[in-house]
Amino acid sequence: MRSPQIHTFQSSSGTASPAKGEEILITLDSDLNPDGNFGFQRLEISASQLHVLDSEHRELYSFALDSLKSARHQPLLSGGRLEITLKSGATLPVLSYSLHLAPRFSEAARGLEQLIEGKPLSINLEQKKTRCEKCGRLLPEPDGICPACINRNQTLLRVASYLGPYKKQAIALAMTSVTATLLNLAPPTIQGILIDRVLSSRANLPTLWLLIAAWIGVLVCAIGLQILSARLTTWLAGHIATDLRAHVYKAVEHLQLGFFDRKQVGQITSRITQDTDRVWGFLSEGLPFLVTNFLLVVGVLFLLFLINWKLALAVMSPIPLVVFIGVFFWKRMATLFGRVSSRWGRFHTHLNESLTGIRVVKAFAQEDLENKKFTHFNTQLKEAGMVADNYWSAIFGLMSFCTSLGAIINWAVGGYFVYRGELTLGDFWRANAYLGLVYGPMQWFAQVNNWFSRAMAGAEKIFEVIDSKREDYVGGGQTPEITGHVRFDGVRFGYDKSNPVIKDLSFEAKPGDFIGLVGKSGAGKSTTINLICRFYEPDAGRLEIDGIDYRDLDLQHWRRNIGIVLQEPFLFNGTVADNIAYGKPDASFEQIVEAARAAHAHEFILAKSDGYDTIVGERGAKLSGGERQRVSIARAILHNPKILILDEATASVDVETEKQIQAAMKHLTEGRTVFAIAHRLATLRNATRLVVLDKGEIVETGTHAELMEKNGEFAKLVKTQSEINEIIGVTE
Amino acid sequence: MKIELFRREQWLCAHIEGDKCAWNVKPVWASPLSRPNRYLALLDSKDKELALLVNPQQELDADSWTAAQEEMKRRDLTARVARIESVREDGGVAYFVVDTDRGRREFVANNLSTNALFYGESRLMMLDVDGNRFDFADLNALDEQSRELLDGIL
Repeated sequence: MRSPQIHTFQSSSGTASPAKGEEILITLDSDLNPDGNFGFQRLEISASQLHVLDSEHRELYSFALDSLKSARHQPLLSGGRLEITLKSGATLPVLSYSLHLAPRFSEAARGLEQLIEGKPLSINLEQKKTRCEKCGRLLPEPDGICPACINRNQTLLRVASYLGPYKKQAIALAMTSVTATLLNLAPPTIQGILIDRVLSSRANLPTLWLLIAAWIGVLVCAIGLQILSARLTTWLAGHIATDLRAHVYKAVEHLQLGFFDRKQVGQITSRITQDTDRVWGFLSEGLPFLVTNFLLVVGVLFLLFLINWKLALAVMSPIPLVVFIGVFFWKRMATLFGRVSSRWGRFHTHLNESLTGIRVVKAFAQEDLENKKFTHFNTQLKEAGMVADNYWSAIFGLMSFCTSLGAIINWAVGGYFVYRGELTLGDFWRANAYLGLVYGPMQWFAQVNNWFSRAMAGAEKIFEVIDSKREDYVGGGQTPEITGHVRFDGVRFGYDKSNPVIKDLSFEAKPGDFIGLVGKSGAGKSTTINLICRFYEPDAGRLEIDGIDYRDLDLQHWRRNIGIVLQEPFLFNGTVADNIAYGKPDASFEQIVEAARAAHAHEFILAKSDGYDTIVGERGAKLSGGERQRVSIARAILHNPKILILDEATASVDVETEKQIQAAMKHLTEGRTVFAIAHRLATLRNATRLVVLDKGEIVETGTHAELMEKNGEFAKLVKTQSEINEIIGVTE
Repeated sequence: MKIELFRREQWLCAHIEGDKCAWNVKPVWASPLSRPNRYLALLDSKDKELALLVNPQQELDADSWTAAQEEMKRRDLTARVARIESVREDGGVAYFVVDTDRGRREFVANNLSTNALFYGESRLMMLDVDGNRFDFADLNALDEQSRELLDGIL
């Protein structure tokens, strides 16, 4: 069994308060001065005292814990404040801090309350690493790995590891590439021999025909190998990109929901599409270019030195300049490309949003406004692209100048050597031809470097997703038969850890119970549901299923036992039958029809021209709201869960449809543990028990009748709702 | 509506129309970035609105206005950026060193497409990775180097 809480006390292990000589149990440093400026203050809490010290460790003020009633973290704009309430009722600010430290001070406030109440200290003041200790860069996720400190070559190696299943093709590719490159070095040598032995001497005519035949042979072989090499490259790159896409998609599916809270859908899809495309582009074009031309350059340099080492050194002299330009200007280039990428992101997000919300846009006749926004993002993208391209053109011009310089040097130095008789005309021609081979690719090496960097950055982003924290599917790996006994035991949870939205929640649902979750919006009802589904896990406390901490259950086994009917049911673009059988793909057609009947959906499905084969459209758009809901109920019935969650299942339909859905739900709820959130409180009249939440805490529990008689919070909610219904003329 | 604001111990309190008194009053700008210095809402201790002042500086007397400003300063730790010392952009993450009204500060902002929020043509609110806010109240008022550094990454 796992420990319910982590007990980490950040203490100065034996350091003593300057005032009392007591052991300090909690030490926390703030990044703000008492006047709110960036600076330093220290909070020290012992078993009996609270002290605040300044940057020189002088005590600013202190409080005896027995004079305190409570403590809390008060969220402020861009920070927070630790506040204490004295037994006299007065509330006092203790110290402020930035949001970076807010989660820890929130924990400290909790710890302070535990000490005030005489409870054992049980808090977690661990600060997760957000920056790389080596380079100071931001880590992709707290306590994660720094992508910059990982060698780019390592990233390439990781990408290359996807070659594993295609070893034979990869070896064939390497061999064809090397052979084709070597063959490409042959024509200048043939030309040199031809000039020296035939053209200069005007003799040896048969040699001419022999050399021409050899040239044709080399050419045919080289082109044949190049075609083969290109086909192999395309094949391999395509397979690697497909595997990479499949891998990242699978990883995305298994990520914790927190990842989706932090990233927009557009950004996640871009990792599956754009980033894998970049890797694919580099693998299919960049990498072959890099490898073959690297071999070519090495071969050419070797041959140049064989011809004449002095000429070789002279013609190579501009190469450092070309490399320097590539490296020096690359940094600025990378920033400009980053800016383009960032603007692409904004452009994508807007495009996604405007298309997803096209109905709202049209309904509010805001096409012009959206067009204006689109134009703005489009223009910004164009401007960033133009700046980057212009800068690149300038670098490219400079590069071209340097490469032309190589040719001029060859003519000057080589020409001089020929004039002096130190070099044959054939060798001069060979050197000239080799220069064309070496400087051409050299111009592009910097761009390939850019290409390489972008592809590796894309690969790193993909690997970031792949390496991101996944849901713990296995957990303790237990797969017991679930009866549906759910117990919350002191559960605390916050999407932002410093601001818990569920606080010390404890209640129980026995198998077959119908629990209504009631409260104002923001009370914590949906979060309670999210916790049951284990979309998120408690920060503290336990959630037990049949007496087992649910983190010890196999996650998929647990979720297979849960059925959800949401206010806005999500249907996939497929047939009605496919959607009903979504949770049980092996269901027979008879079972699908039976579930549809139970959900009062059968008749409306039959009324469609394609019956159960009707395509529901993206998100089920071709069905009405009530129809979608009944299909989702049929889906839940067929799934046959032990735990059923109804999240405002009838909130967005008309009264007549609601009646049909209520009838459908009678079948659905029988014999299951049900957790229901309902806006219309009267629909929870038959619940076994209602749990009334307020600000993440239970304020009342009981049956509908009991709570009405109690005349407390629930009765107030019912009264408010009745008044509203009277105003809008709704009768329950 | 006649409103007087004053401090009683650590709380901001309000007299409304002379007969209603509220303690622990929270003044918040309704639209602080798009409509600065206008629309000041006064909330009670349960965050219920007591009043919405369209032009608070004119509608409140000098002492009340000072008390409201002090209270807002206590509740708002947003740093106002006066100058950008340096910006380094790396892999879509920007590392800033800035001079602010609260002192010199280093901060890191990622995902600039969502965390650099423009309000109108000249106001920028940058959110760092922890959600801390850095207010560039008037981009045109920044010195040339700061503007160039910002232009380089946004």
